[in-house]
Amino acid sequence: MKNIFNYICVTLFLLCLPGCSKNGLNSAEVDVFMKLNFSLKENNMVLNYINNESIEKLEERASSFIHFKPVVEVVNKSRKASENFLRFMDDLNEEIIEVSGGCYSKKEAVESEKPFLNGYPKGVCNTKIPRQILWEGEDPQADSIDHKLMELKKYYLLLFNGLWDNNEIKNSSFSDIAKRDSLLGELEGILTASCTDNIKESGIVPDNLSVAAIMALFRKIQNDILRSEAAFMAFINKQIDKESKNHKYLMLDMPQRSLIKKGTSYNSEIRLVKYVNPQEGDLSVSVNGKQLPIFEGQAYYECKPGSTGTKKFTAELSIRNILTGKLETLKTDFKYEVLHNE
Amino acid sequence: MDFLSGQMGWLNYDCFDYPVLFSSPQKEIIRLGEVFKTHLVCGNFYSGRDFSLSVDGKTAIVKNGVAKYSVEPQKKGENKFMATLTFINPETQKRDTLKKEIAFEAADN
Repeated sequence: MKNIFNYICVTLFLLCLPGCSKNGLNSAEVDVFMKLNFSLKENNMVLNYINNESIEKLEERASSFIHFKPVVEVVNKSRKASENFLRFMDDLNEEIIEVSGGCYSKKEAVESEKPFLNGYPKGVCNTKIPRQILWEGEDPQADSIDHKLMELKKYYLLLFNGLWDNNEIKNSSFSDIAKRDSLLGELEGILTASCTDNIKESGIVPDNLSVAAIMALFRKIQNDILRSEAAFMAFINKQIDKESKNHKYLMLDMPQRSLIKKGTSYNSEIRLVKYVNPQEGDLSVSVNGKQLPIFEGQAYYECKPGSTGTKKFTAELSIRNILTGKLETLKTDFKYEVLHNE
Repeated sequence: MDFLSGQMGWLNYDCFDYPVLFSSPQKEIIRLGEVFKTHLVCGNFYSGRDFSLSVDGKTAIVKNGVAKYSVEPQKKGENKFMATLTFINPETQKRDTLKKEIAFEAADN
């Protein structure tokens, strides 16, 4: 992503200087600026839509599956934080446009015989206003942006850290405190990769940045914010999914009949069964009322019948559904056959 | 592309919404004096299509997640066959193999 960032910086630099060195507008140059700005704006709308959709789906599931509730709270907090930051960038963008003369109205664009100017900032080539607002004075906004970028990353890490509190999210990475530090380190790496360099360290020379260039740069920062948010949500989800998919597999033979007569065929359906290996205490199995030992999600039962014929046993299983948090009980009768020992 | 691939599987919560209790006995039929042994597990059928089955080295037909096997026993009493099931583990994306000796009983006609 740093390459993209550098590409945008170089593009802005190259586009900005020649066009703006004249005290007039070159329609082709303005068009390129605005297209860059518009493309980034469109991308941001898509990212914003995807992030909102992800949260809505998560909320919908959490209404039935309490397992997700702490996660929903965390992603909503991350959404609020990123929304505040996005709004801050929009407000700053508006301020720079307003102070540099506002935007062309349709009437003004037509009167100047340059209809493409409709909605474009009048001070599109102005480099003085961005410099004053971003780099000069008592409260240079470039510092604020850099500070907010750093704070947002810290906040995501803080929220992530909180998912281990109270051991609420069973059967996930968040129920294992030993995994916390390594996952925090992994997330920090992901967030750094999703996020831009800060403005001060990006190599941007304030003198070169016009209003049009700043608009595109702000869109890029907003793009980073949204991508960081998406990466954060995907990372959390991966941790839940990873543990909940802790399935094991076995082969199950389901014959039509276990005892067949010679001359007829033995017909069977063989299936692959996946089963879970729940945490200790979340699974118990009993046969005819007697509790069985459990190893890696399987209960083992054996008995030595004292007579021939069809034997039955009833197995009862209680398992905590990790999605609802409730104990579910299953009761099933099984049969087997005991023959004479010939 | 990284971002889009990161979204794949987002909220596809593959879990056991409807658990079923299975018994997987060593033999469904035993003789008097023998011990009946079984494993009881809570799980569900694997719905993936990427699995194949061979019985005693011969490939069996697999359709809709079910491998059908049929054999006419040549001897009276206990008959056995070795089933080998191969599938792509959806968690690791690696090929896993399960082997099981399955026994059944053939009586006089």
